[in-house]
Amino acid sequence: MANAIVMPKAGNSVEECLLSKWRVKVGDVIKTGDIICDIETDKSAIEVEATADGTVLALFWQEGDLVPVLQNILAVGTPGEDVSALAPAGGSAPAIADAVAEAATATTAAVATPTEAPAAPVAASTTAPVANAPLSPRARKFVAEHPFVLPAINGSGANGRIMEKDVAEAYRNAARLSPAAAAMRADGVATPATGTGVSGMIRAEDMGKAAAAPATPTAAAPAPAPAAPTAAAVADVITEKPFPQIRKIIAKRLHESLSSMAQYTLNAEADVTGLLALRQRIKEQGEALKLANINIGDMVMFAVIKTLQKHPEFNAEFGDNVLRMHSAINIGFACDTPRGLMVPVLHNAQTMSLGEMSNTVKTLAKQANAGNLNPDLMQGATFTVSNLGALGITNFTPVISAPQVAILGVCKTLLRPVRDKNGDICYRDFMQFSLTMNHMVLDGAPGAQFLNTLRSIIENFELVCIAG
Amino acid sequence: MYDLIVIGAGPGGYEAAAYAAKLGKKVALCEKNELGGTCLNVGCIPTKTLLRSAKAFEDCQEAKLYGVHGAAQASLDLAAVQARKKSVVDTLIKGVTGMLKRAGVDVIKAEAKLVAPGKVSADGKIYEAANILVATGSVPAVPPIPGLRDNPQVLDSTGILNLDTVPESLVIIGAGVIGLEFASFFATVGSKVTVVEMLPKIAPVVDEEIAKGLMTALKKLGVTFNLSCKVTRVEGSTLFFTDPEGKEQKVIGTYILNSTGRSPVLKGIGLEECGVFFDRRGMKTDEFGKTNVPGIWACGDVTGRCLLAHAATREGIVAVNNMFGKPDRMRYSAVPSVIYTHPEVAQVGATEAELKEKGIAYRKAVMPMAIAGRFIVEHAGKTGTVKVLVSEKYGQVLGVHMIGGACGEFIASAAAMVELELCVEDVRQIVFPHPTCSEALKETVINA
Ligand SMILES: Cc1cc2nc3c(=O)[nH]c(=O)nc-3n(C[C@H](O)[C@H](O)[C@H](O)COP(=O)(O)OP(=O)(O)OC[C@H]3O[C@@H](n4cnc5c(N)ncnc54)[C@H](O)[C@@H]3O)c2cc1C
Repeated sequence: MANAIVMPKAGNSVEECLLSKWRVKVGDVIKTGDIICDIETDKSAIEVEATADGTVLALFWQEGDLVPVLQNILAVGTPGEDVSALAPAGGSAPAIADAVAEAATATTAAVATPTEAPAAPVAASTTAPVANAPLSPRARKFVAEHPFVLPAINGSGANGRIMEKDVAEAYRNAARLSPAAAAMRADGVATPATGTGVSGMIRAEDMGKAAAAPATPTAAAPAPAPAAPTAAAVADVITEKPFPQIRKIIAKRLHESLSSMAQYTLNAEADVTGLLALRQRIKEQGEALKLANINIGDMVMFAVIKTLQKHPEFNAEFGDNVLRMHSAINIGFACDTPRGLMVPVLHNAQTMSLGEMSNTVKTLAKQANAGNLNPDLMQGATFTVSNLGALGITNFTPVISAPQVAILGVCKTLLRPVRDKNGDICYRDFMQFSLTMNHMVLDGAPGAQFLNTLRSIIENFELVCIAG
Repeated sequence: MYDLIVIGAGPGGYEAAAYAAKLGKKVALCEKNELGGTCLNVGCIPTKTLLRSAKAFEDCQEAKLYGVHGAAQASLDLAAVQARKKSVVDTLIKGVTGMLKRAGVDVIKAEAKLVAPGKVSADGKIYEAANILVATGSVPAVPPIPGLRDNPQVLDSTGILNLDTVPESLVIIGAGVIGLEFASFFATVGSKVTVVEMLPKIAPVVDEEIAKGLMTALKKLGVTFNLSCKVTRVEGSTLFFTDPEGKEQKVIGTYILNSTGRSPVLKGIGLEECGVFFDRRGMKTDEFGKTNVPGIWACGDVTGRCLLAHAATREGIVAVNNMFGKPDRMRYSAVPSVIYTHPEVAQVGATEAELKEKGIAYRKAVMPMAIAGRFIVEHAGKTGTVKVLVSEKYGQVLGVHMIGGACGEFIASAAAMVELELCVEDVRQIVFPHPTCSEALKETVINA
């Protein structure tokens, strides 16, 4: 009997996953434990293993689809078996044809795939090119690897999907970018569709401007008005950048967060002159004493943990008019990674020594950067810290990760003149903090108290550590 | 009815005509003199032929450096050099003639004139065409210096190409490319050469560091330079000029060469009658080769934009492509130029002065050509320099300036770098043959 393999539930709060790449195709023989596909949540990329043995009879989804967890994604069994009963509602059946068709062209199989040939001309002749028609994963990869500007094109795949051969053809016809222009594009300079270089190559000089005027005047064309300033010189250039799946999810979440809460931000600062001196000593003597390489960020994180222990209403989730305060302090900390924003979670942070905490934070951040962080280590945060200080930000409005009730933004350290005990002016270093709270739960006074506690802990850090 | 009539068979006109004919168009080409224009008859080719003989002569003198004795007594027979020049030019004219014939171009050997848009008169007949390409080129300029005109002792670049004996002394007015090439030639073959130049430097279009190197090399050959000196008059074979202190000086030469520049050929070709815009410097064209009058196009020296044979050719091809609906445009940012003195000077792209003037942030590398082993092999006792300018931010190759040996032979690879906007890291991936002098180019780029 044929069996189905389902989309795994990659973490407790995950409801759907992006099927980013099939590793098997219909007809392949697989056994339990083989990797069958790659999936992505908003937070990580995971390989899915087969949970049954046999021949792949059907792929129910297409690469790029967002698949609800626990839905059937693949049927496995003995060739010839009927798998229609296993097909999930909402599965994108054409995926099977597409995947096969593309695999066939890619491997230059001599046999034409019947599903594709008749479909293509119809799609091409009846549909106008759509700027953001869906791209097959291979097409997307091709675009990412070739320096050119993809124009609006017709896809030859099912439902107008743009296949690798479509973008490859567009690439052959499109204006190339000179290496210098490509470097500028990577820096975010707007790229026109055509340029003034060799065969229309886009040159450094063209970047940020409107597309070059087509160089095809005909002999019969009317005389150009001499020296008329061209309007094109100041024309607006619109460069479209369709969101990848992960970014779509982030966007949705952030919008939901702001639309479901009354968020507001309090700013405060704490004297970190002592903390900086301590950090310096750790740097100089830490190795001899076999201390972890504890940095300022770790110390601040440690202070936040201590603060949360004193203010449990901040270490909480809110929903359905109930505030759920956690005894475990699970701190999420935002990391800017090559895959986008990731938030690894430091579980049971209240049980850790400063050294342990510092090491754990570094390990998690490293895995997040490498993209191999276990999704469960991105779940269950009860409070979040986001640090933009290193990027020079002096204060900002962090956005709460629902259903948490607060988030602390750690900002730049500023040098300020203050009066000492004797009334003389001296200079001290002050770290800036921005605390965003859900006003539905937390009012200004408790927010101020939280920040005061945090300040007091930071300014008396060594004593707090001694106290344990 | 032609698709295209070209007026002038220099490198701008004849290449455009042949190219259009190869595209299947019906083309006529009018030429009042020999096919090949200035370049082939009295410009690039004859001067290079002379310079080749000078090189042979120089090689004899230097032969002992390479262990070859007895060559130093060699002498140069200018009449024989001229005979060779004539045979080279004749061979090439035959080549052009055959090429045009094979392409199917109708050659009309007559002076031509625009009579109206779409109409050309030549040889007493009116020819009609959808497009007319004006490529009438340029002639030596004669500045208003008393005594310059109608003086048998004063020659221009065309006249001096007919000398049969090496003059004892030669005074050259103007240290531009043409003047310097003749200075190099005549100094090598034994004339006492004096150059008088109004500007404080020689070869004004060349990067200053390189121009200085060229001046040093020419001084070694015995050329005397009078810079910042204004020629006031000529009397017979005596040239009077004011020196930088304002004092009048004079210099006597067997001949005086007027190489003060070129004037575009604009008169008598019907531009006024057809309402085509032009000024003293040349016809006005856009980057597609169009003039203000539909159907009338121009390329080459007559536009006064870039007085080089290969620029003329490229402009002509661009115009033809645009006439017949093929997208193309002229770019001047990567047109290489070479001065065929010994040593050669070759450059492409922006000079350091230009980058400074435009406020473009750049990095530069300057290296001796002798870092390439082949340079030491080939050029005993000589020096050379490669200078490369790249953009500060992206390392894009913006300018390459060289002096030394036959560096003109490999400036084309630098031109490709500039045209394709390669960056330092791209050039690092390109393999240069070893041992060649071109390795010095790569080495300098990757050090910029
Ligand atoms: C001494 C010297 C050395 C040079 N060396 C170099 C060099 O090494 N490299 C380089 O790139 N450039 C060199 N040049 C410059 C080069 O020769 C010119 O840039 C090039 O020839 C320009 O080509 P053209 O087609 O525009 O005009 P030209 O070559 O000047 O040709 C124009 C033609 O049009 C003809 N013509 C004019 N009016 C009419 C008419 N009414 N009817 C019919 N025919 C007409 C002329 O007879 C001429 O044949 C040199 C020039 C000189 C003088």
